[in-house]
Amino acid sequence: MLLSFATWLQDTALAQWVALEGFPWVESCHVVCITTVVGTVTIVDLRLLNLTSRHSRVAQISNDMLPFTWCAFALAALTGGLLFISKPLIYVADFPFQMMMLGIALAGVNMLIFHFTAYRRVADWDGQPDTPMAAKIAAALSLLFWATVIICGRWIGFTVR
Amino acid sequence: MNSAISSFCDWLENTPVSLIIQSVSWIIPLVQSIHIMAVTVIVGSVLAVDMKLLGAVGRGSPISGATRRFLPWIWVALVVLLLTGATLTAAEPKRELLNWVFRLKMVLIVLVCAVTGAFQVTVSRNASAWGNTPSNQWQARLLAIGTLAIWITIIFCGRWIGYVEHQ
Repeated sequence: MLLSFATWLQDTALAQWVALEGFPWVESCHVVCITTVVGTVTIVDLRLLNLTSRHSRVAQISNDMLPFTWCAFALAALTGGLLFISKPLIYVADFPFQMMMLGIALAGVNMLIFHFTAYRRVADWDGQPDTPMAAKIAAALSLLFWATVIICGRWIGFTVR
Repeated sequence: MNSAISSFCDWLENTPVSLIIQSVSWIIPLVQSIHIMAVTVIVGSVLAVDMKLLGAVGRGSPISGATRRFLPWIWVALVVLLLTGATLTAAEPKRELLNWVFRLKMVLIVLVCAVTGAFQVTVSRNASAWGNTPSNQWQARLLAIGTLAIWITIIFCGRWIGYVEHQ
C-alpha cells in the first residue's frame, strides 16, 4: 500500500514539476531555510553553553531567535517534502537520507526534553554567572545533531543522482 | 580572457593537491558540509543584526551591541568559507572559474562585504546615531533588507553553480 502511495505521489503534477525543472529552485530555498534554522539555533546554543552573549538573558535570546527558527523549520520541511516526492522510493532507501531524518528526530527529542526540564526553571537560573549543566549538555547535543543533519543532507547529493 | 582562465584550470586540476582532493571520495562532501556550516554562522549573524535594525528583536538594547556581538562572526565565517571554497575550486576549477553563476556570486560577496564593513566602521565611530532604534530608520531598513536579499541571492548562486553548465 505504501508502495502504491509512493508511486501515486511521484506521479502527481507537483512531483513531476520538481523532478523535471523545479529541483534546483526548491533545493536553494531548502538551503536558505536550513541555514536559518541552524544559524539561529547556534546563537541560542552558544548562549546556553555560556560562551557568548553572557550579558543577555537566555530567555531573551530564545524569544528573539526561536520564532525565526520555527518559521524556517516549517519552510525547510515543506521544501524538503517537495524534494522528497520527486523520488520518494529512492530517498527512503538512501542511507544518508535515513541518517538525516534520524538527526532531525534526535534534535527534536533533545529540544523537547530540555524544554520540559531545565528550561521550565529558566527564570531561576537566568542571570546567574553560569548556566546549568543540563542546559550545556542539551546545547552541545543540539549542535552535534544539527551538524549531523547538514553533513547527511549534503551527502544525499552524492548518493542520489 | 576565458582561454587564459581555461589554461589556468588545466594547470590547477593537474596539480598534486587537486588530484588528491579529486581521488579521495569523502573530501569534497566533507568540505562542502563545513562550507554550509560556515554559511549557517553567517545567516544567523546577519539575521540577528538585520532584525535588530528592523526593530523586530532586542528592543531596548543599542544597535552597537548587536554589531559588536555578531559582525565579528561574519568575518571569521568568511575566512572558513574562503578556505573551503578554495579547496572545492582547486578540485574542480572549471566548474567554478568558467561559470557565470560563480562569478556573480563572487561579485555579490565583495559587494556585501564592502557594505557590511562600511556599516561596522560607521556604527563603531558613531554609536549614538545608531541607538536603541536608529534615528536614520529609512537607511537602517534599506541596509537590513538589502544585505539579507544579497546573502540569500549568494546562497542561491552557490547551489546553482552545480546546475549551470560551465563554458
